[in-house]
Amino acid sequence: MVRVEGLYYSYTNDDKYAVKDISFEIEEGESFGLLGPSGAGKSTTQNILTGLLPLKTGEVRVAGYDMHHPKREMFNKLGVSFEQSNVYGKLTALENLEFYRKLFDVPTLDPMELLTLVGLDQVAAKKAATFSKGMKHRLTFVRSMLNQPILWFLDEPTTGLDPAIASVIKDIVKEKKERGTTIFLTTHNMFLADELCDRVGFIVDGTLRLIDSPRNLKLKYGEKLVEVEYVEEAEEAVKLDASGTGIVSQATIGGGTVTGTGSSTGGGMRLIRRHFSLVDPVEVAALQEVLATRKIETMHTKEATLEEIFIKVTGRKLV
Amino acid sequence: MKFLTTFLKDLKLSFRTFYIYIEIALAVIFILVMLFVLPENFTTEHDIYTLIELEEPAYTQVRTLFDEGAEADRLIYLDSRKAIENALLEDREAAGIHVFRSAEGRITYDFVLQGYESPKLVELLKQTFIGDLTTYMPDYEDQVSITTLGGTREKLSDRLTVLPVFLVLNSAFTGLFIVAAYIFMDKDEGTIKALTVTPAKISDYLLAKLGMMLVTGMLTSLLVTLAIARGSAHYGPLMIFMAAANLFGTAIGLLLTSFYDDLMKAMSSIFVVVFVLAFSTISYFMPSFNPLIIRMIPTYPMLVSIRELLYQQPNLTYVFATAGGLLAGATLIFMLALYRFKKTLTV
Repeated sequence: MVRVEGLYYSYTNDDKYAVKDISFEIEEGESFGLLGPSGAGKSTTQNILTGLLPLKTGEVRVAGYDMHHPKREMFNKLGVSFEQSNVYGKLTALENLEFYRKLFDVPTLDPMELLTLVGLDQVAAKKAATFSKGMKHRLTFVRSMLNQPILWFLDEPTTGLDPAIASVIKDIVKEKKERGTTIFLTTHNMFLADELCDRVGFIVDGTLRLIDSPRNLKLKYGEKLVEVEYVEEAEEAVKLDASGTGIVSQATIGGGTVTGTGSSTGGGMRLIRRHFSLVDPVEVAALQEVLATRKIETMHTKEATLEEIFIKVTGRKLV
Repeated sequence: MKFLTTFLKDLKLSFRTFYIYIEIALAVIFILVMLFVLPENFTTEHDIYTLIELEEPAYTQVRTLFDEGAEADRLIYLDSRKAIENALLEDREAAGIHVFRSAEGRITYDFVLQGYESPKLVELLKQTFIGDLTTYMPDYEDQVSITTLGGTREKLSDRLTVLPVFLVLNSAFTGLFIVAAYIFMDKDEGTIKALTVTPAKISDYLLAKLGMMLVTGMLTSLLVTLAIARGSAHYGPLMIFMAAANLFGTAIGLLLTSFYDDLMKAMSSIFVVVFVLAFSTISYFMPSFNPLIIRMIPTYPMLVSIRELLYQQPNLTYVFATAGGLLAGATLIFMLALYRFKKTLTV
């Protein structure tokens, strides 16, 4: 569905590349996430793939079209949901969708049904200028579904949305994915990528560092952890700040790593949260000691997140 | 079809923004000012307050001389020198004349002026008066003959003479400003980007803008012409010409907007273009000053063509040749704008 080979792009037409030597393929029906911090080259790559930026160096084919010579009709197959809402403020929600619907040469979805899908049916007759940021974002999102795209570009689809609406958006994307829509997701939200993507690519400083499935990445780079919260005598606990409830600086006690908060429980006791690696024998021994000698409050197994793997692989944070 | 969809959307949007109402308000203000504030002709003639203090029959002779003169309808007779001076204080445009017999027994013509008149004007006034009196001398013979070269030309009222300026302002300048405002609104909202990822062409988008400006421009032009010129305009050719002028002005606006992201950044360029285009009005109102450089500014032939269409017998060849030139220019500028938009928006 998408094939990118040796893609370079410079906004200044010199050797200051926003993206350099990027190559990847996306199969039909696959959901692919391009992950990276702001300015990494995610949007530049997506803009080249959607024709918003001209292809200068490299080979790119999108939905069967050579992006050196893109055709207008290719947009009948594509859907693009922008990170920044871009709807006509002076038109109502319904008028916005009705207008865009008429621009496609393929059967389109009913605008009212789409508005209902994201909970905007009650405000269909209101001008978009009166909408909140989240409502505009939802309108922008469903607009990209009008032509039932076979390749769907989603740029930060849940950013700025409240959890309930974000969940609705994720469910819609999952449903489309199940129906065979190819998805190209750009985000810095690793949890979203983990949930929606078959494969992810890590992009930093315009370079694609790694591509694999979230599961393989976790197996390869992640490590099983156990998070334990237990009560400990005050004098044995790690040093807290003056208030007794501050964030504990990272410190190692008997092999386990304290990464959480220590707080006073009264009576000279402290609540301690620690992570223990299940692959490091020293930490396994420390865990066993804690389990045998301390009063355990909570205990959870924990996998490394994509974010942690991203930091491990690229040495960079996502924000 | 996509053009029509985009055009209808733009038309709907235009009536929901205030830009179109600026255009309509300007037209209405122009009509009101022309019809109710300014006279049909802006006269430069001034009243002459007159006092004749002579005995008979000299009084009657001088009075007859004045009443038969070219300025008779501007003469206001008063009964004292003080009354003349008071009248001049009230009317700063006026002049006065006091005729009396001097101590030597001569009939004396004493001009009473405001004081700011130049020596040249005072001398001109004096010579004109002497000249008028000379025509009453026995055996006077006028040996000056006037021959008009190039046939006679109708004279439009001052109100009609100003009309082409508004029509050019409305089509070339207002269109340029307003289309820029619409494009920058689309850029600001990001809707132009959203449109780029649909099968609609950039040319559909730009043509829709041209169409929208054409509709509003033609409506306001027709409204103003009907109110000011009434039956004296050749409406068919005028509307064709206004369409060409409107397309030309809007195309310039489209090209300018292709270089900028927002109205503030584009403002200086827009002002320069409008300033250059406005230069032609100097030659329009001062026909004796029309160097080639000004005649080459497109608004000059626009003004002259619209004026032609207010004459009873217009030079249609000139009008349509100008319209053709404007259409060709509009097409060329539109193609450049299209190239620029494609380059900056891609696909």
